[in-house]
Amino acid sequence: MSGTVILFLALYYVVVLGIGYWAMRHGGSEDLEGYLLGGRQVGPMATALTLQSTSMSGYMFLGAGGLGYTQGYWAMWFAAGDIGGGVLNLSTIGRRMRKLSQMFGALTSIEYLENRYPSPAVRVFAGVLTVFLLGFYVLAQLIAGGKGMALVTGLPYPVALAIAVGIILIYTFMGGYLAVAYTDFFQSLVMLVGVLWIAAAALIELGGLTAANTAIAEFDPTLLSIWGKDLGFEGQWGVALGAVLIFSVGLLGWPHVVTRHMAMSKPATARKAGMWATAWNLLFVPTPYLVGILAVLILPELQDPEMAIFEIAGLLLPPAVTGLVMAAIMAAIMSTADSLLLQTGSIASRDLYERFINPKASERQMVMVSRGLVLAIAVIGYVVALYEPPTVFAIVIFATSVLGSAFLPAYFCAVWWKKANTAGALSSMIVGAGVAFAWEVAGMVETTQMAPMTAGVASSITTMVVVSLLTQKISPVPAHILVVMDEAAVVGPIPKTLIAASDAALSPEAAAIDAKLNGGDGND
Amino acid sequence: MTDPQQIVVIRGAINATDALCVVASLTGDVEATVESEMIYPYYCLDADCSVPTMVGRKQLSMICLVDAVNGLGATADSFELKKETVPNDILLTSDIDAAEAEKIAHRTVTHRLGKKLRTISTFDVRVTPRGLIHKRFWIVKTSDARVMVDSTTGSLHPLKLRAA
Repeated sequence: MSGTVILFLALYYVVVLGIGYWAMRHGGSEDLEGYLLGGRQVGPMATALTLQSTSMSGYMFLGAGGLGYTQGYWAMWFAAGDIGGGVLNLSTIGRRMRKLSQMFGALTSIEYLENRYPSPAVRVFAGVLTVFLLGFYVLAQLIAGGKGMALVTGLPYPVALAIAVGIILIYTFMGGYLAVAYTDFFQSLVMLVGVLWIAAAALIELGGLTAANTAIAEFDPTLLSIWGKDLGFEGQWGVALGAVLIFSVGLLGWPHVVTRHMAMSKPATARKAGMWATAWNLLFVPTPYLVGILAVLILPELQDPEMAIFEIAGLLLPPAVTGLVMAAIMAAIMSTADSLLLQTGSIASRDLYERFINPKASERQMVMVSRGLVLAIAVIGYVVALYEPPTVFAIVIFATSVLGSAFLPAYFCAVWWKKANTAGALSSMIVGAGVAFAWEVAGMVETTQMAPMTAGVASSITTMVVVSLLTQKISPVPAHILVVMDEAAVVGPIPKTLIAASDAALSPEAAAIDAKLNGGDGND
Repeated sequence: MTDPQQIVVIRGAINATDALCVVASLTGDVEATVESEMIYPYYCLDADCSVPTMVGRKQLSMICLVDAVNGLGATADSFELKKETVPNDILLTSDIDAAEAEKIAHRTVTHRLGKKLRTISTFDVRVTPRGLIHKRFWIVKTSDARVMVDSTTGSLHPLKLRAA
């Protein structure tokens, strides 16, 4: 690979490391709220792009391209879900979760769940499950980073992997969430430019989209179908629905994505962020799948379909642009890896270590523990990634299916349904995760024609509703939570200085006094 | 003006001037004023608990306050009480009866001990009601919001968020 490509990559790495250093110097690591949530000061554009780039992992440049290459236009079911995921997330739970999480004083998405559904069991189950699954997800990203780096530089895989992991680790370690959010912002712009450039080059090579589709029809007409190669998924609406759900609705259940809501500068940021997310998605999301589809014509004998986009870039683009595109590919991988790494470290430190092992840890100690766990997870991930890995696509789909199935009802109902109680939430998490896991492991997709995500989400929603309604008397939602939910529903800011100092435990008294002052008897 | 009532109030360390200082220093609002006060009812109960340890059972005592309006229980530090006569229009009325408060207190103390001791054991908890007591909250008005200030701890919480 040419020196120009490597130069561009090196330049990209210098920029992200610079952002990490800037974040560290600008409050990204002063206290725990600064390290884990960027001091809750992230604006709408950065919120939108960190949310999108976090959910758009190396999968978009490996798995999506590979899926387009092997299954043709069937892959666009996944794109359909992806396009709406961010705006759906921000518009349905963004604003309320932002307010609710601050009133609870929650610093992680798992702590937020325990605050809303009070029980140590919620924290234990959610924390352990999330660390376990995000660990797999991190692994997938590190593998993608190592593969990409090896392809670009020609270095042996272990060395390339070490460089990729090392860069991600350094800026995440230094600057925490602020570094992650702003590098994601930069990386999402690089991703967008890069993928659009590859797509343009591929379309020019093939004489345009119409000419390309005509050529695909001659090569293998089933690739133009929405049912996949050889019409393998014909009539399987359950699988198609699962493909749409996983990246749209499923995002509502991903702890590393919903954390973005908690870090927004104010609740009103959600609306603007939704607009930015939509704009970016419309341009970015369908493109890698399309490039994969077009690659069938340009590289018909590709050994590893997941390398389709990499190979197209190397083949069609001049070295300078290839360097930018390679940076874009690495950006997609790193923008997810850093978020996952930080989330896994945060949850392990705040939700497991501080909550159950050392509740008296100081802020300074907690920042150090969080950093230490980020380092440990990166090192373990590196060691595991050195061994023969399965495909990135399979790992990501598995982890995200189980996460979405487990947590979607819990996060959604936390802000929208006052009857969602601890028993309902815990049961739905266990059932959702269990069903999605069993569905995948037992190979139920073929027999039922239903994706694990579809089955998992249906099960967890049903469980949440049934168990919550049946257990209202024995597991009532605490009064202070109902009050805080009402406050979170109100559209409007709270004076910043008061929020910083206000005691959420006084919410029930505040509501009663407010009612009395407004002419009630205080007992509404 | 409605008829005054004689009640038992927790003796608070924070007076009206202190409350005003707390809010003014936070908001920087020099126009802030103490608008009024509100008297909030709680059921006060003593809880005596027998908890298992490695070397037998240990006796613990604690105070439990049950919010007489919302039915929320919490353990509390010890405090002094005094009798006061207050007008009815600043006094919130309780919505929970004493029997219900006892059940809530029992549940609260059991849950608190379970969380603190991190065991799944049964505790022997006896709850003795002391009666209805009250706490004073100062209501401070700023240009942005109204804030209530706890007269015992100085903690505060905004009111009327819609108007903020």
